[in-house]
Amino acid sequence: MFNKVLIANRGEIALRVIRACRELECKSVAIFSEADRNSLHVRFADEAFCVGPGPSARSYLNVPNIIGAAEVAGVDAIHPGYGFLSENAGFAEICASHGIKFIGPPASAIALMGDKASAKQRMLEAGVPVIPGSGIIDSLSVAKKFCAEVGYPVLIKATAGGGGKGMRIVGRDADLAAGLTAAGGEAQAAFGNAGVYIEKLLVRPRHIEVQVLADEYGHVIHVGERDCSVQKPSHQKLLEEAPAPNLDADLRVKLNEAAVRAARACGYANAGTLEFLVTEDGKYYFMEMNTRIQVEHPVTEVVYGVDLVKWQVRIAAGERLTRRQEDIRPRGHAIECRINAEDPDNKFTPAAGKLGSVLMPGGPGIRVDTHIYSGVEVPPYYDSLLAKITASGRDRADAIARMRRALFETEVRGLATTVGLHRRIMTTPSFLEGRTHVTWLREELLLPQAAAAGSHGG
Amino acid sequence: MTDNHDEAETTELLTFVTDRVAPLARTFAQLPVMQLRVRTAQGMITLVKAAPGAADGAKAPAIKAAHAPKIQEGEPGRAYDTINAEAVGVFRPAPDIPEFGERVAADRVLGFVEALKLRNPVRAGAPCYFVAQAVEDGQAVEFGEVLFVVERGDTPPQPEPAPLEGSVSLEHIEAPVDEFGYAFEGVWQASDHGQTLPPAH
Repeated sequence: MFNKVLIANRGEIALRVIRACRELECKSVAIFSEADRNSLHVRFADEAFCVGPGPSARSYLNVPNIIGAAEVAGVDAIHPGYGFLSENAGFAEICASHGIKFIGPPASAIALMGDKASAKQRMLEAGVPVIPGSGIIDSLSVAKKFCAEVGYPVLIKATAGGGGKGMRIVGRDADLAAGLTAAGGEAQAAFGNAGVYIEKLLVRPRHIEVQVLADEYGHVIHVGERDCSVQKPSHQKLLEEAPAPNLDADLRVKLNEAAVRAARACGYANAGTLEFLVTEDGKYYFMEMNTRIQVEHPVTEVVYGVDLVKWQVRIAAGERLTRRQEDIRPRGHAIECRINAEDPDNKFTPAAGKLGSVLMPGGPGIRVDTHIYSGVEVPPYYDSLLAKITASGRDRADAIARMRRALFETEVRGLATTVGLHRRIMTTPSFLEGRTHVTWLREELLLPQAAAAGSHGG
Repeated sequence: MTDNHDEAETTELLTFVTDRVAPLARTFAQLPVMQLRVRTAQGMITLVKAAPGAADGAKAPAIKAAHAPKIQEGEPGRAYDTINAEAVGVFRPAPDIPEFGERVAADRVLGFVEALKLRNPVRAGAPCYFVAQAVEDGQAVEFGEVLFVVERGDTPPQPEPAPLEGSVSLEHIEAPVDEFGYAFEGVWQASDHGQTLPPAH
């Protein structure tokens, strides 16, 4: 086991890693920005180093100062958490060149899966379905042939694209030519490159992801799936659960097996997640791989009884993964609500400032991962996640009942939060029936509410 | 810090106190900070000013206060400017460290912060008068830590400032390790207040 680990992160995930280290009897070193001086991760770590001012680019992304702190503290390893430097292959390489173990996958796997095109290619080779896409479209007949194969609707995208520029949704053959012309023209104007390709557009898919765990000796297992379909309009997750409700047993097996195959295909080690889009007709498509621990890992930990963060550290320290696939079975159900400092009634605009009273729930079946406390300052520079409340029970209904009770107990004063929105989700019939998809929140809750507000002259 | 502190170590400590701490304490009395930490191989020493509100200030890390803007009012004595660490690493003073009161050009290198096998130069940044070096050779420093005390104004610092209210004097010194074997943390208190402060964490 390592003697000392530096946690290159902040907030609740830094605390989560520090807790794992302490339980493993391994010393922890926190880094912090000047804006986070009073943060709990600074208090709970064995040592702490200020690495820069508030803005992330000069602190939590300040590689020279982070490595400097690692050298001064004499750490054996760095845990990157999620976000910041966690999926930066260059940082993983810098760690290695300074004799510091990066707690995560090999830099080669981060680089491979971080590039959309190379990831997709490798998944195809491994027999994992990807969202059907054409090559660069050079004639209308090629486009028509592709669309006939995959079926409408389709999405035309710019090869040089980004930010929604050069994108067009086309629902029928008759509109294809006009769509290609418009997208091509927009792409030419925006990127100086008129190249476009076509992708199958999935309508109201579910976001289902599979957790994998692999040691450095080739032993790979999956730790079940999570349903993360409740998303903000920006596609950021708001609520996750495990196992996925109403998931066909055969499809579950297929997803899990595909994830293990994918992890093997990219030479993976440590914890990772394969994200899939699943359509109503039972088809599934690889979307991307997250080569790090994820925000929503607690639902998996609770349901499967596997301490993912401790395994991350143990695997990086060279231990063998002793959990066998046949031992991995779900017990009951778990739901996680992300409590963010943002205003759901105002396009989820992030809020920053001093918190008033903070009361977090407790009692049977409740786990809280948070770095906030009454009166603490929420800096404007970082992710707005304040807390994760995870409720578990014998079954989904039981978990929902506990979550309702937990949200009733939860109080976060001083800033706008997502607590109220989660309370509404917990009483929405289609959620209770487990019928969510990636645009569900917008269609079922946000748009009707906006319309109601509008009709009242607001 | 070792447990077997012997005569040699005690002598070392005394040398350290007379050579390093006394001048630093004098400088500290004029610094716009309420608390200053010095770590060396011999141990760590925290200098704390006992002044109104100092009991609260004692809990805050030294660097927080050091980042406060130059204090012109309500601070006893003269307010100096500080040069703080940008890099995290090991501090080394420049071989030609200026004398007290010496005029220093903006590009003058006063020291280095060593990290990643690199020596990051610490420059004066703007013309100033040199007052003091605030950390020891070989000490690990974090971002924002006070490395040097300087005067950026037009008036050179006075070589022997008059005793000021709230100035610091040596009150007591503890052994490098206490009877439980914990690392030494000495506390200097202003003699004119006599307020007992806990050693900083």
